[in-house]
Amino acid sequence: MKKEHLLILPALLLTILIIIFPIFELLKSSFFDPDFTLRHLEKFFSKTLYIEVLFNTVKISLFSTLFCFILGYPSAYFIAHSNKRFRGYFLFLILLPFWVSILIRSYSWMTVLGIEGVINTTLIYLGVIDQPIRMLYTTGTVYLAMVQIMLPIMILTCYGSMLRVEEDYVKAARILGAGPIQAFYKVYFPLSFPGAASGSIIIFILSMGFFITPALVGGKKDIMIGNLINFQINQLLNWGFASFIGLVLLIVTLVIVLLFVYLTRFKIENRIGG
Amino acid sequence: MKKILKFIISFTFISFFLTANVNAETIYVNGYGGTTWENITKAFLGPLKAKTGLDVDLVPDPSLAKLAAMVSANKCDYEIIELEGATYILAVEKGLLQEINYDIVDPNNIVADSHKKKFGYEFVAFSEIIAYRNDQFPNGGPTNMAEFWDVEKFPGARTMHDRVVGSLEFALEADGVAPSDVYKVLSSPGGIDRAFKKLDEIKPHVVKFWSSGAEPIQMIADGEVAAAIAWNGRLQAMANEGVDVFYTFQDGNLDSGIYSIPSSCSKESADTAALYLNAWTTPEWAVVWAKLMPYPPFTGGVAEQLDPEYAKLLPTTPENVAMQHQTDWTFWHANYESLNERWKEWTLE
Repeated sequence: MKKEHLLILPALLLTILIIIFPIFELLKSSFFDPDFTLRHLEKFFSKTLYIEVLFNTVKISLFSTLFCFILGYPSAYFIAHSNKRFRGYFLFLILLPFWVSILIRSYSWMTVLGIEGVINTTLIYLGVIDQPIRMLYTTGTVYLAMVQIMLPIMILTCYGSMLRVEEDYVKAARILGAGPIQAFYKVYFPLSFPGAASGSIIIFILSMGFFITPALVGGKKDIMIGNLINFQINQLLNWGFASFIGLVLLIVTLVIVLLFVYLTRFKIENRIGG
Repeated sequence: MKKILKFIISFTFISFFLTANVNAETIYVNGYGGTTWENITKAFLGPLKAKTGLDVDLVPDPSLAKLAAMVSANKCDYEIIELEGATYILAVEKGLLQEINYDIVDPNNIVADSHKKKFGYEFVAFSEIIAYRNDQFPNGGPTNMAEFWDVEKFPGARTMHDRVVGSLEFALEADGVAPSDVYKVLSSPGGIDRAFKKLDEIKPHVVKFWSSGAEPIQMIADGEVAAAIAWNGRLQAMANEGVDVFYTFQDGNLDSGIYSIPSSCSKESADTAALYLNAWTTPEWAVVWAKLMPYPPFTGGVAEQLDPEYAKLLPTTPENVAMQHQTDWTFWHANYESLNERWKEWTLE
């Protein structure tokens, strides 16, 4: 073992202490409460509530990730290919919302999207509509608020990997006869994809744990699994069952992330090979 | 520059020792911050300090989960926690609370026994009630639950608390059950189904089930809903700020906040904490509080000292009590988890 390897030790110890150990405890209390029991498992799968909410959570997280990609990737491209002098300024603008609390950002949507909010008042004033449109408290608002919160992550990770793309490869593809779209699709995109992939994974994992924002701006049906865990912990002191839901959340998240990594690696390699 | 630094350092040290010294004289309350705590400070903490030298500080946002963790670690980070009916019963069941010494809290015996629970003192009353902005219904809006449910006669969006407790009772009241009979019907066979069936009727018109008390207020103010179920204190605060809001206690839900002492606190600190509870039973101070916040305490002699016009705004005024149902926590404790699950399933349907 090289001496440098010792440098990883503090981080490793910390990880074991604050991540591995709690996850082990989580596993334990899901099945030992206090003796070995499968009752949490039975309860989870015997009610439609938990499965339905879990499904809803996955759906909202997947779509939020997708929307972040659709909006974030082109923005990152724009910044990465803009004049060097302005890049820092653009990045600063993107990071700006990070300094505002999530709660305030969620509330600020209310003044924009409300029945008597900016958009509705303007549209009515301009005569486009005569009855206000209900935009708040819908699943659409949930996506809007979540994408707003997560978008900077996607832009930053994409931007990072785009800077590392050798422009000469794209030029080479063009010289060898590829059209601009083909050159992008066959060369630039696969090379910049690692950033988009890591951004997507981070955003997906974060979204799976969200619950305050959807509860604030969402409608009746926008319940996230985090809401149910919170209720079990804070209202019922049923930590065993809360752990079990947490465990299911962890497993489902891991499976989807691994599936994503497996599928995209396969695709990208294929593409570069072809 | 050095001088300033020296000063800051010595000042920090001195103030550290000073606070460490008076620590024995400070108790901590795990309660809600904001206007409530400001008014508690005005009405009770100033006079209490003058009388007993006791300092009371806030640990914001009460959490049953944190209480359980604290008790299992056998620590006493705060001497008092604010609970509500459901969390109180659960905390008693799990042995998280200790008995309250009413010889200190209410030496003159001026609070009715029903508010002096073994492990918790019911210190304030509040209500969840029907409210709307007057301009939403120029010819008068809903004044009882049946009318709140009647979207033909009183059209427009609604919001209700995302909470099964209270909502089932409201549904039965809308279905013609008298407030005093709601728990009799709920406990009888088919009663719960009847409530859910009635809730089906209003559900398409409920744009949002709110979870924090500020939300319905915002939704009324912003015109997101035509009518709402909201807390009376927040409604009055809204009216004080100039919003033309109507509210009625008819078919409302009367409930109370509970102060309890964690079982992991020593007997001495519990007795010191009881001095703070005693402040709430002191009529002169309680009157000041009731004038600031329409969440009155249950101390005898308070209602008589209030302006009769103002008393009408309080949930505990006898005429208002008669219009409402009072949460029956015995019923709810027996059904809490299963009905909560059913409620969530119902909202997803």
